[in-house]
Amino acid sequence: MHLVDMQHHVLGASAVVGTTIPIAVGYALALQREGTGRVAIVFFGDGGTEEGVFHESLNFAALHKLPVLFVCENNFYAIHTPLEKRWATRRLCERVSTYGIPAGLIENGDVLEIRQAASERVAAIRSGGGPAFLEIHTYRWREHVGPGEDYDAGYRSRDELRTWQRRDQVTAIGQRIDPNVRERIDAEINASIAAAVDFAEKAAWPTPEELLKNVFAE
Amino acid sequence: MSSQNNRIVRYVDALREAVAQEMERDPQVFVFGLDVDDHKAIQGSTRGLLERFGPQRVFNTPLSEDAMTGIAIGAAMAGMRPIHVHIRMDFLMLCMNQLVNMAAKAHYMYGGSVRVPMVVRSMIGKSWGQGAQHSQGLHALFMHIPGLKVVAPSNAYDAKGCMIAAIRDNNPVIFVEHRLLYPTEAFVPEESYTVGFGQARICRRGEDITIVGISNMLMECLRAQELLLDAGIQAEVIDPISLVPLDMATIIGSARRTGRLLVVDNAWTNCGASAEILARAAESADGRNLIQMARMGFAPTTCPPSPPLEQEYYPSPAKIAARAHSMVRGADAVWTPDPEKAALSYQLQFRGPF
Repeated sequence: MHLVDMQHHVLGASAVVGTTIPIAVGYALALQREGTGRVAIVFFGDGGTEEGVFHESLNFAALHKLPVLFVCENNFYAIHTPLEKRWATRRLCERVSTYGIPAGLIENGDVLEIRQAASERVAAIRSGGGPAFLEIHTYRWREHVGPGEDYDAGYRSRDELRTWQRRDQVTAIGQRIDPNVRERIDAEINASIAAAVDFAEKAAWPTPEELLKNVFAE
Repeated sequence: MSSQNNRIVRYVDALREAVAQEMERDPQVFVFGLDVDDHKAIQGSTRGLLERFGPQRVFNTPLSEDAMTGIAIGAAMAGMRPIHVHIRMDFLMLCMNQLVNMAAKAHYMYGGSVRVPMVVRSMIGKSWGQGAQHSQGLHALFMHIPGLKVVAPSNAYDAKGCMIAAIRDNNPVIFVEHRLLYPTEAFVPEESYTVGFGQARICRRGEDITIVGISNMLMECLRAQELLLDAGIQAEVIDPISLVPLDMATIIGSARRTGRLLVVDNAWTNCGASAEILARAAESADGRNLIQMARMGFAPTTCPPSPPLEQEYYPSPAKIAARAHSMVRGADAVWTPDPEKAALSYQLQFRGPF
């Protein structure tokens, strides 16, 4: 639950919803001081926007024009609880824009549209425009935790899933690529996944001595 | 520590000097928090920093302690050294999610690939109506969490040395100050120096009882030690200085010699720092040296703002001395110090040497 890869600028995930939002703003503060035009991007779900810290972070980022892109992946559920039970209004982009932050919405899941929007926002941020926000609709096909489906649980319908499956971007983009190229890409990715699984299965468990490592930094 | 440049300096000024010297030395250090740059300057502790270092390094914040703590953490992960300032320790309750779930754990969760070198300054309040929400000593909450360091300097010399050490530490440090310590004076070297964590100080030597005082209570314990001399009791007074890491070796060594250990905390006793110190002392029992143990702290209630009730709420030099006396002479030998002397004890200024 805490993936990190500092070498590739993946700054660390967290299992407590919303906690990484202000941390991204802190990175953005450091990047602004650095002055090289680097930008921090933070991803969170619809649930994350309900935490008070989200609003605190938007306000501070806007106040100081920090180079941060906030991205809400709205899949309409916080685990099993739908939006209607949690949000007084659906006007998320409007809420964000009241902080003076440009807020865009992409509803159809089109990955090229998302890429274009992100590209424009990042460019604007790089040139000192201050923070920006994107709300991107998406859908969780499987259960919250685990590999199975949970449509039998009754809190959501399979019809909802089918709408999103029709928009599946892997399929959509895949159909636009030359089949030979597609085959090569699929083979590469499958090999990469297989290698990762193999590595994980063969890797040793940590030794007891590792328990107390890294409680404090040197 | 001997130095040509020893001067009498107040605690508040020693704090500020430490921060200024580190900001001069390291451009990554910055100070932020509610009201750090106004004319009151956090009761003097940030005065002049804005003028000297500019608004990029000394800045005010909205009332958003949760986010601001996360921002400090993010900036620290990115290589900066933030000092987040709160005028009262009570406000740290707004920071708990970030401090406990992120700052304390990031280095561990992320396999050592990230560090959080930040300092969280706050002041324990006392007197004249501070009351329920402006007087809490909450250091025990932070001592409980692996990954946080906690330090509570009781004098100006340690204030400067611990602050410099805290800023240079690559971990989150909860820096606990006390309002009444701000005007207290000590000999403080002009040059930069550190007071390392995990080393307690024996401030006064004695054979009859070991008294450990935390934060402002260290001063109260020194006053009690003077009062006890009238009863022919020599108390050994120890300042732990840092609570995480905690130097139990010095405390246990002393308690084994005197046979009696009294811990006076600037906080509630229930599950507090005093509980931890006594538990560790009890665990150290070797079957040969019996240690009689007791602790004192705030009354088990919310702090009242009214002066007569405040007097009931807090330990005082007279109460500490009376408790120590009963441990040394027996519970039946009731003694209270001369009230006039107890009142005058507040004129005691402990300046060192350190």
